[in-house]
Amino acid sequence: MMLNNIVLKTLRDKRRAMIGWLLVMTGMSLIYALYWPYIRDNAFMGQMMISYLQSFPAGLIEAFMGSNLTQFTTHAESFLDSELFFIFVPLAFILFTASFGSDVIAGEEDRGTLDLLLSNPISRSRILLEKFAALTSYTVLLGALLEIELVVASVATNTNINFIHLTDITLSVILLGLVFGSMALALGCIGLGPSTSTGVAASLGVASYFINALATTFKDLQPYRKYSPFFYYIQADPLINGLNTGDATFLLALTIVALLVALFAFQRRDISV
Amino acid sequence: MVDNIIIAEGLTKFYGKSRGVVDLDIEVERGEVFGYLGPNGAGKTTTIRLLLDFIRPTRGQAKIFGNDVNQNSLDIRRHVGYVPGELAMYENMTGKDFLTYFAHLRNGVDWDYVNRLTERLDCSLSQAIKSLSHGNKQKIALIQAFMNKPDLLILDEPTTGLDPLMQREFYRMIEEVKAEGRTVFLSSHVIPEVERICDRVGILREGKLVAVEGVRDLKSRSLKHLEIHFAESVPKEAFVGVSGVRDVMIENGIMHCTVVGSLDAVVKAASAFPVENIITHEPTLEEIFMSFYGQGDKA
Repeated sequence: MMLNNIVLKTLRDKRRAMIGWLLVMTGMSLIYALYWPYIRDNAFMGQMMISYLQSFPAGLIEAFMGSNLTQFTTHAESFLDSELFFIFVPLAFILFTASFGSDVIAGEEDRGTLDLLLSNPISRSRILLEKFAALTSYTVLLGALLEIELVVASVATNTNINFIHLTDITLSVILLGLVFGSMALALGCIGLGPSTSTGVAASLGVASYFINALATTFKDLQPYRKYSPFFYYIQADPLINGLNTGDATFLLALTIVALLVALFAFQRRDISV
Repeated sequence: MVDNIIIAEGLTKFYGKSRGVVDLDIEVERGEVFGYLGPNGAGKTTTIRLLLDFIRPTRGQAKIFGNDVNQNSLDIRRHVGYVPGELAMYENMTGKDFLTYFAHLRNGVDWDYVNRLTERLDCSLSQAIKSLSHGNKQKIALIQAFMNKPDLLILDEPTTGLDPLMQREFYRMIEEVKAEGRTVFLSSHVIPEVERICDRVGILREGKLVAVEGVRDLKSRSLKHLEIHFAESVPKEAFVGVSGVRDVMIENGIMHCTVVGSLDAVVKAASAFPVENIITHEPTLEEIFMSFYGQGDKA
């Protein structure tokens, strides 16, 4: 069953990586989801946390936790936004998708198995699209399981979270992940090795985060913020305000552009031995 | 129906400034076993990868079944079985899983036939590929190439790692393919192998096809190093001038010489003396080229 086509074979190959990232993400998220009720129910503790955070320069806090600190101890969405969705979850998604995206073509080429695969009556574009479908499937599954976990945790701890907005931020982080996953895929298709493709895509992801996060403090960065995919992921605060369709469409468009570049490059170049 | 299964015209590949292959003109006929002979680095694998559209030519073109290898690659690959020279497989799969996956990618195969191939090659499919020896991996690669009974087999050094018993079985499989009117394009640097199973041989050197010979012609022109142990000392003059014999050297009753073509004359000359042993050594490819093209002509 898992060997019926390239999508299923790729899912089979990547299941261990998927489980690993799932454990990291859900484990970390569960800690914060269960920690939130203590802050909510303990005003002293909440105040202490706010005071502690305020002891740091405001720019530093904004760079790593966003600007939702005012409601940090009173609204679960603000808490999860700052602690999970501002930096940890998106960067984890980017690392997962970048390593996945670079491995499916560049990795297979590097291991030398791409020759045998290409000797079958399957076009290069179909191979690429099936592998991208596998990447998308696991990224969506990762997001869905993360959301289910947060929903269950919030019900169990009697935490009031807007589940629709939770879906919005999940969708947004999936789209952000796919941007860098398809970018890594495209870099691999252009001819970069798997490590380089992962490194370049992940580094661009981190750079994109910093450009967006530091732009609120360093005004010189403001003009560049609109070039950062992170900006379109978080600027509308989907967990608090809901999904901004324009931002989501932009992230989707970036993914499609990267995928088209991958298709164009893979179709035309020599496969290395 | 196309009679020339493979046609290459001026097929050339450069990797930047490095030479791959230059101006190849090849024709392989239906039902033929065509050997592609050349030392490592001559361009055998480059040619095969051009034919399978893994790499694109710098100039020139190639056709398989009358279709351009780039424009109609998908149609071509439906009817081609391939074994790569640098064998790399999905190491975490078992042989069975590997064949199952490839069978799906080819829209199914006759599993009875696959099982027969597996038995003939004495191959274990239940173990993870990473735990197999190179020879056993090669057997699985051969099964995947043969399993959908392709009209054309493109095999890059297919007997690498096979023990002599399995090599013989492989030769029988090639003979069966030929008997069914299917075509084989096989690269090798092992002359006896090519002599045994091929109808014609293309000789590749430094990226250029220097000759296409019938195997019979190749045999008649190929050379062997001969070592004859005599029970007594023998005069060198008895062998100098014998047809096809050159480089005669005699020491302590052992004669060393090089023979081009048939051994008949030298064996008859030796029979005048008490012979204890005859040993032949296969020449290197470089020596074959020298015998074909002379010391000064490398192209």
